[in-house]
Amino acid sequence: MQALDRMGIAHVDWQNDAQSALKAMLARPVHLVISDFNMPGMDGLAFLQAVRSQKATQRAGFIMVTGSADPTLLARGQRLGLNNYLKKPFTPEELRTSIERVVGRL
Amino acid sequence: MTRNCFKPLGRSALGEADVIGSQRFALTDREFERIAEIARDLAGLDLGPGKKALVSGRLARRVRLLGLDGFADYCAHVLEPDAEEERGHMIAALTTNVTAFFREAHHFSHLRDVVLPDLNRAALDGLPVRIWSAGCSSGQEPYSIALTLLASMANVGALDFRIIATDIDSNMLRLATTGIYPDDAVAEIEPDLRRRFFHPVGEGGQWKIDDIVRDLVVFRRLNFAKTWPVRGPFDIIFCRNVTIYFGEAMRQTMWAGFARLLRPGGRLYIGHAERIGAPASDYFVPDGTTVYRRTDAVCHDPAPPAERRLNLSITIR
Repeated sequence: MQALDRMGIAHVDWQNDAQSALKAMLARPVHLVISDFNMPGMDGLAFLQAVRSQKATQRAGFIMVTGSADPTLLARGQRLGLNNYLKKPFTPEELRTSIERVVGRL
Repeated sequence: MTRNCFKPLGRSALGEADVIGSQRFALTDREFERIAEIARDLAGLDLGPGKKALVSGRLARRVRLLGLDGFADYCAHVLEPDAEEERGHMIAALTTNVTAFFREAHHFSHLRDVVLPDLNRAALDGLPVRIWSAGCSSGQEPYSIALTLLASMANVGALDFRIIATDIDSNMLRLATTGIYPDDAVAEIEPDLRRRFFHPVGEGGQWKIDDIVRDLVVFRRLNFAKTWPVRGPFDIIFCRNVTIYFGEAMRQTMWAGFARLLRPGGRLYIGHAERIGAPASDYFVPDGTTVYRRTDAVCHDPAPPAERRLNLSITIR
């Protein structure tokens, strides 16, 4: 993840679950969310739905990280406004490409 | 001069216009000024009064393709918030340049005979060698550089050579990334290099460049008027027939940017119609026809605008 440092990223807020991430996003708005699908408590899709439903967060880009890249899951994500996904494991270059697809060239 | 004027594949994708019709649109001075203003804002292009015929010729096809009534409508259309794609087409149409493998062959002989001997030694000592092809269009320039490297020493792939290739036109970059070229594009490559590094694909006389060549090159989109997605320091910069689209102020910004990114002793290759004017000429001394060597002079010009800084939220375990 030190790859992020070299991409012109100002601030990264690391959280362990969706609830704390949401809370942190309300305190400090972000341009982009990168989230696991599998998380304790709220899963990635519920998190996405929550991000999209609040005015303060709904414009953030959302990249889902999954182990399976399951088409049904991704289709549901897309309906909820998912911008891109990454299949684990991924390289720094794939991460960069994915971020750039969502927010434009870094 | 015989030039292998390969019309890039991607351009012919725009060729649907040919069947739509060849209706002419008159470009008024007012419309021309408007378009020049838009092109300046979007990409820093400098379209002086002498470029009116070029603008009219290059953009008429876009007007037709979109089914618009004329240039006035086109100006309105291209400024709409969701017309990002058309803005790309517009800049591409205005800056398209013919390109060919080993175009201006004397640059590649200079590279091989004057520059590479030292760089190859450095690479063998384990040092990184970085080359930037700044306006790479459909890829012939960076691949010609890669082919020159491969012809000059045996184990290029095992050493730390990298060519960064940039262009403003994402369609050209996509094309370049495929590394596929038609017969007439590869015809003028030296037979030995052609045999070693090009493989026939499909049925229609297409050739694919070998992965060894392809893997030496990284492609990225670049708008000179915005943040440059390159870091340097570079040993070599090729920026040929790019500054011709810009005004003198923008050119000075570019020369100073190249000076900042080139190592002392690094080389800058420019197009045959281009000249480095004062004050940036302090950073470069001529080293051949349209080749310059970076002096030790410290570059005092202000750094380019800061990169956009993003805030991220990450929940990955």
